[in-house]
Amino acid sequence: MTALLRRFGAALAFRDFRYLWMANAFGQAASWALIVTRGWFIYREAGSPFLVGIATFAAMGPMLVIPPIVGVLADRYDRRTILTVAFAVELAQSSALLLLAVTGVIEVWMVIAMALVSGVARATSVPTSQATAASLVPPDRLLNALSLTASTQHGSRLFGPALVTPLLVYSDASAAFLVAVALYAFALYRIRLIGPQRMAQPAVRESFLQNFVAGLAYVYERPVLRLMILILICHCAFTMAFESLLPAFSADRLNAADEGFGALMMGVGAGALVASLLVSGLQTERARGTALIWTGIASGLGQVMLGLTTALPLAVGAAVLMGGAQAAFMTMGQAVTQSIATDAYRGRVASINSFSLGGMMATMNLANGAIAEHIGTQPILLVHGAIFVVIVLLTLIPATGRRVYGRSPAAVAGTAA
Amino acid sequence: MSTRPTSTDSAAAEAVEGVRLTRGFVAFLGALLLPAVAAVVIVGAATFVADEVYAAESGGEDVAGWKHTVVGICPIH
Repeated sequence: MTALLRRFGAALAFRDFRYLWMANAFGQAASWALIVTRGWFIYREAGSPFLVGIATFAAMGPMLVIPPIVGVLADRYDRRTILTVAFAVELAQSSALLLLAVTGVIEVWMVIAMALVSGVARATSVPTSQATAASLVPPDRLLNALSLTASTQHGSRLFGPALVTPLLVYSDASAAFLVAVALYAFALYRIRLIGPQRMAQPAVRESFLQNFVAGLAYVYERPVLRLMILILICHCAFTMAFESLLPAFSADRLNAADEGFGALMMGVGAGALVASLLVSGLQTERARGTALIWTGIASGLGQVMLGLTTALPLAVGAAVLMGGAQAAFMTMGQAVTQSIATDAYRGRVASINSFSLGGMMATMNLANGAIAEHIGTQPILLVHGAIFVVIVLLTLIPATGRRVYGRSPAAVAGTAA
Repeated sequence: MSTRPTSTDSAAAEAVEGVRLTRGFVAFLGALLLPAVAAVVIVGAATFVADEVYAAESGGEDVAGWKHTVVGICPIH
């Protein structure tokens, strides 16, 4: 047991990372609890799926806009202070919702406005947290640290809604808001325990835009970093933008409209949680590279398998494989990018990951949903899955690609922090 | 230092002193930024024209094709 913990939880031995990990776990759980509670409240009050969609977009949309700004800030100023502000804003907006609900003056527009505030704070904390994690553990524990962080993101999707759903059924929204307040308060307390983060190279003399463009140029000038980010963008485009397809796929191919969609999403989530924990046990760069190749191939093949199935149990099995491979591939890919970046650029590299990957997923989800209305969901799943398998195989050919996958002696030098 | 790719990722050469807008760099920027911009534009445009499209549909009137398209693509409209 101790040996297992030492291997799979190695980064937790570092005190500051342990505090950050706990803050993220509680903050993410609060965030998902709020997403469920806001949707429940708005639908009950207004009976409008459109307004629920607006609230969800208000909470998620800032992830496309805010990270470029946050990336520069995270490389200029103390990252712990930025995280403190972000979690304090989360605590303030959830406390405001609680107060409004208890006093009975809460209205739908207030909940949507608070969703936007929460979205901005979350878009601030996610990339800052990723950059901070990389500076709290030694390079050989970075994959473990990012895997543990990823597992909290996947686990919180189950844990957060599970905490508030019974309260919404047997009580009301104010009890659920209280849970979110408690979770954010604990997360903020943990963030304050992290030691101050000394900046390696504060570039405050340059303008904000110069700093941002310098971050983009920094990524572009490093072939391994550039190729890894481009592969991650392709991964998001071809294998991770499936959510808009699943409801129609469940209804048309599986003849299981509602329960099929829920089961597939749970399969994806369960696979992601298990895989991100398993990846945390990888200890060498070569093992990480090998796993990156196979999970990339499995990510595409899992989607092809899903597209070929017509039975719900088989489809759930394919969804578990797909979700697990996707989560493992993304976690290891982000570990590669953060291990190449030096501390002075980690905030901007994390932010480039956030907005480019989030933007691609959002756009492809929109496009897939529209295309599926004309050609159906199956061709999209099959073709996109196959394309990504080909991309992984093609990127193994050039020397830079082999370095991405730890297949070259130069890979170690190229990815040293 | 230009934005031309180098053959190594040396941590020692971390500073970016200047940026030259080569075609490769601009293409790379496009790959990073355009998807996020496209998502925001689609949802924003759909928000502006959704009422007009639905009013036209219920009244049996014509409306520009692009307005139908953006509202059709956007999942929250």
